[in-house]
Amino acid sequence: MPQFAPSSVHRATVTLTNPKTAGFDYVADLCMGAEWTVMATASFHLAGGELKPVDFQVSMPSVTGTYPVFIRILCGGVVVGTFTATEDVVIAYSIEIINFLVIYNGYMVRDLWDMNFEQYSKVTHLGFTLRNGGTSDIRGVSVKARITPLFPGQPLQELSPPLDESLRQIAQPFTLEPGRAGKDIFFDYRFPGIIFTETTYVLYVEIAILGKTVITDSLSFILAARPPLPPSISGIPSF
Amino acid sequence: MKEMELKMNKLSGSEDEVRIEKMTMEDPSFESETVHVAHALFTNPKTSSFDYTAELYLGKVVGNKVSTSGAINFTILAGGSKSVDFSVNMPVLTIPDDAFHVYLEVKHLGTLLITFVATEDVAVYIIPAIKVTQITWD
Repeated sequence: MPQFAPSSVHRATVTLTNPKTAGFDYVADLCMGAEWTVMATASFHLAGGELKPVDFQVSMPSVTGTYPVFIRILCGGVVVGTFTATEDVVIAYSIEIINFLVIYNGYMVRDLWDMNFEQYSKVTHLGFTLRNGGTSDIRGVSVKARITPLFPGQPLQELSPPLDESLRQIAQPFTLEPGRAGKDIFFDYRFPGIIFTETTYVLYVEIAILGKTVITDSLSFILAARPPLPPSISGIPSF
Repeated sequence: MKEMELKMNKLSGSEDEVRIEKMTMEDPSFESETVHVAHALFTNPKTSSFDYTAELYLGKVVGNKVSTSGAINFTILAGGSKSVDFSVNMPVLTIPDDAFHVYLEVKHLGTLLITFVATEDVAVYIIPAIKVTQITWD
């Protein structure tokens, strides 16, 4: 099922055939939605028996959802055919979080879902990668996040300052361009000092587009520390 | 559909061997490639029975048989009359609409006796249509 970003512009190519032996001038409307909203119109001529692809530049609906697609064709002001596409069009933001990133002690580790930090002394920055899987820019992307203990009853006195448990906007609205690499978003929560008590934390992330939340995601991790590692061990450990 | 009379004028030949009393058909406006029947009432003015072959065709000029009923054989007794049906498939068009003269030839043993032409042409048209075979998105 084709999926497009809201308000993005795409081209529909409709292959049409005139089954008659004489040529006619036609006007075709490409409609979307149950209300048959006209999204694009094309005028064309088909000779007798001719098969021709006809392009429609369609500005997609601004509201997410699933839209049936219809073609209505007139000749001389009279409707000569109405057709329903076999596939609906889905209007959605094709935005996803593809990595959570953690930078600790100057090293970056990717793909940290379900990863424990129990052997590391300090986490300095957290972040993730946003990827636009569509084909057009997504404007007005904003990101909010918060970190909170999974079990609020556990002691927090080691943390100074205490974690901010309210959603915090960590990036000004930006435009996310399509592409495999995506955009890394970092935020500077800091866990100062040595944490000797294992505590499970949850990182909540909300992605909004033009102020409307489109993704909520979370990552749980255990943050604690053991005594510093021997000097001979360095680099990125394996898990 | 209501039948209407189609007046036929003699184009060539003689009415000594055969006469057309009446010609009827549907409203002379037809969709291309549809079959319609014209009914002709002939009389034999001779004093003996006569064998005839008649052909009704649509065309732009005499002899231009764009669409024809084919030869219809029939016999009319001396002084008698006979109604003959001519079934014609309306022409295939390459333009949305066109008009054709209606000709009627009557022969006897291969000899052309008379040719009639209708005073009114037949109008033929195509109802537009279209098919959608595929929709792709870029």
